[in-house]
Amino acid sequence: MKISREDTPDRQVALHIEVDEDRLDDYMRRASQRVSQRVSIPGFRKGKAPRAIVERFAGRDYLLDQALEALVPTLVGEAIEEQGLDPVGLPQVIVREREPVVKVDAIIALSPEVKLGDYASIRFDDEPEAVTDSDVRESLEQLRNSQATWEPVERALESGDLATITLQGHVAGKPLLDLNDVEFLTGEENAIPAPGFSEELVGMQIGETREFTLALAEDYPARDMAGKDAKFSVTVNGLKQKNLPPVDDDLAKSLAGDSDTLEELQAHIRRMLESRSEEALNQSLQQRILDVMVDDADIRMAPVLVKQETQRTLRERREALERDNLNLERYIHATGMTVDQYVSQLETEVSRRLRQTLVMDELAEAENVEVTDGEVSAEIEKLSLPGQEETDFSSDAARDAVRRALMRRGALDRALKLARQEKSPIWTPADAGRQTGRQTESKQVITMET
Amino acid sequence: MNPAKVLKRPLITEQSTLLQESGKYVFEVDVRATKADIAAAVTWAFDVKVRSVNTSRMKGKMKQYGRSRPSKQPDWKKAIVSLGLGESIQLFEGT
Repeated sequence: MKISREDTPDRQVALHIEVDEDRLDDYMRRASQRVSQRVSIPGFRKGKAPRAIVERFAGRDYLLDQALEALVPTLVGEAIEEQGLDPVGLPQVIVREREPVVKVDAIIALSPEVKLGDYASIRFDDEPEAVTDSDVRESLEQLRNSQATWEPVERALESGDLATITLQGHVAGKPLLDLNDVEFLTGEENAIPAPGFSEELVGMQIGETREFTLALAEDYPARDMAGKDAKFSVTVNGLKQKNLPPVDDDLAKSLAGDSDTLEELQAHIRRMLESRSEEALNQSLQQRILDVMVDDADIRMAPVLVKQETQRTLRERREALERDNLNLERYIHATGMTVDQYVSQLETEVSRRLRQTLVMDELAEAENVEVTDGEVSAEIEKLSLPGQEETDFSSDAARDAVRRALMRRGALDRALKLARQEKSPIWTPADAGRQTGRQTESKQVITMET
Repeated sequence: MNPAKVLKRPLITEQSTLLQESGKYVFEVDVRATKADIAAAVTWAFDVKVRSVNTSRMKGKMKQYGRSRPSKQPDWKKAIVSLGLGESIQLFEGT
């Protein structure tokens, strides 16, 4: 076996492997044995046909394929071992020549190298968005709406009423709709089935039938009907009016939670809004910090890793679409891109995502983020709650994935605290190291100044 | 007999490949061919010396296709040809 090696600066090694005929012959022999076990050749019991016969029967190319299938991974494995490489993921293998000398190129990704930038000096002093009285009022109004009751009334229809209607619609004589006793929420914002439909109903009495013509919306789902005039015939069978509960202590009591008075409820809403705004800020900050860190970091990652990950993502998307009986190529076409454009865009996304992951992992390491088994179990329990996507967490690999996700989250939390200059509430050795680190830095500054 | 019409095809089976190791080659031959005909035909076709020929007349098998009445396959003659020492035949390309 001859190996020549080509290192690229981006943590990628190309190995050119050549192997002589004897080795191939050995694998051909084994391949022929395997094939003869599987296929029945007239005149021979299974597995008993000599190689020459099998070769004639199955074809040399087929045997060669079979032999290489077994030989190539072995070769690449041996070559990696011989060169003392530590690959990440699967090597990308191309068979250059098959006969008489097998020539194989293997592109091997090494573990990426990440040098974080000066992340400790990233600062964001954004404050969470202040919660105003009108925000609280708005939430309260929403709660009030959610507690509204519908009460049957007997009067002319007003906008906002819930009407029970029988509806027939025709476009140029062709039936469009035929609905019996459906509930219809009137209101200007309701543009179904046609814009202005609700307005036409205003003033109708129960039992009344009206006929009118309206143009359908330009974006009506049935393309051939869009924008055309439709004739509607509507009969109102019943009316309900919305009754909003008054804003008082009773409303507070009727809601889940432990607020007994209106003030308590308002305070509760305010606290909730505040924590939500804080949460939103934290999330956007984490994303921004991560972006800055990724841009600052010196990351050397094998391009083949990105390629493989892109292919994997592509495959996943294809499968997801196929589950809905959709075709990936057609889907890409619908977005107005060519397949190449789509793939290269996906590649950029994947590259970004990989870089983010690498930075988070490196940060977790640098900050000694640790995750206990208990935390992993707790997270798994949370993820296994009903309503979540069903995933099997029993395997070690799955546990490990959860652990890594938690570590990344921890790393981001740490970065956020650093950026907002908060001290972590629990004293850890990592904190100590960071603080002394900073002190020595400031000391150095002083000595330089003096 | 016309040597070109004697040999019909080589019989390639597990047994016949085993026999090849001791210089014996198995053919399906014309039923009318004599041992002498077969020896001459092999020499003519492969340019080898023949030491001896053993023959046997094989009964055609009864075969039934679908629901039709079983019919008899034609009888045929098998010849095991022993070659002189050191002689060999290449029965097909690439071996």
